Amino acid sequence: MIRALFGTGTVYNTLREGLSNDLRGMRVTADRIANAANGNAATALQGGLQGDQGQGNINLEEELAKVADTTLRYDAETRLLREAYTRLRTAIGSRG
Amino acid sequence: MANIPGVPKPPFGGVRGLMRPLSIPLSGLTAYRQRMETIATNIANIDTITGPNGTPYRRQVALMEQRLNGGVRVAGVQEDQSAFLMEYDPGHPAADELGYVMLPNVDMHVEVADMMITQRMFEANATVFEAAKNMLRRALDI
Repeated sequence: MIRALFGTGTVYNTLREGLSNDLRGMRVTADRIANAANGNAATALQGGLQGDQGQGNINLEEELAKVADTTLRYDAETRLLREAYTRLRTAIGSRG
Repeated sequence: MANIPGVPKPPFGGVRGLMRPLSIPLSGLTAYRQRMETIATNIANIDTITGPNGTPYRRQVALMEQRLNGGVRVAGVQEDQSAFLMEYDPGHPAADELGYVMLPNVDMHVEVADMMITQRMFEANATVFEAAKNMLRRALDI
């Protein structure tokens, strides 16, 4: 019974996996943004000790768009999950 | 939360997993603040011709490093070993016998460019932090 409600393939599990993927995606994007200016040309030592050795080729706008996209998707999923749980609560509450 | 056979474990990785997206931009905020301090020190000392060891101030560079568990940190602050600037000013008290004064190897243009990049990177990390914070708040609404 519980497996049928929360197991693989159910809306609850799909949404929970979606939330998890969004969190993972956010972590990766946050890491890329945090390291975006590592070793950029302007900061390189003037004596030529250090060149472009970081992740300077990251497109900041693209990464920030990903942040916005992930946030919106996460919002939608949390709302859907909340509504799904509300329906379930209603079903449990109205059985007797 | 108890494991129910057939029901997948919570995919969030616990509270730590939830907080990780916050800790990464936080590391960025800390690192870029430190880098901004280094740039501020360079600009403040752009005319310092006598440092503690008798030579002009040497430009400092914050070396950024990727953290193993995600994020960024300042691995250290290193002195720029490029040559000091020489300015012809025979009337200056610190001028040598040829009339040249040794000045710090700080180039204002480089510092301002660095400052702009650092400021933008700080803002980008602050945006990510705000977004991650809102996501966690939404998660509490479930």
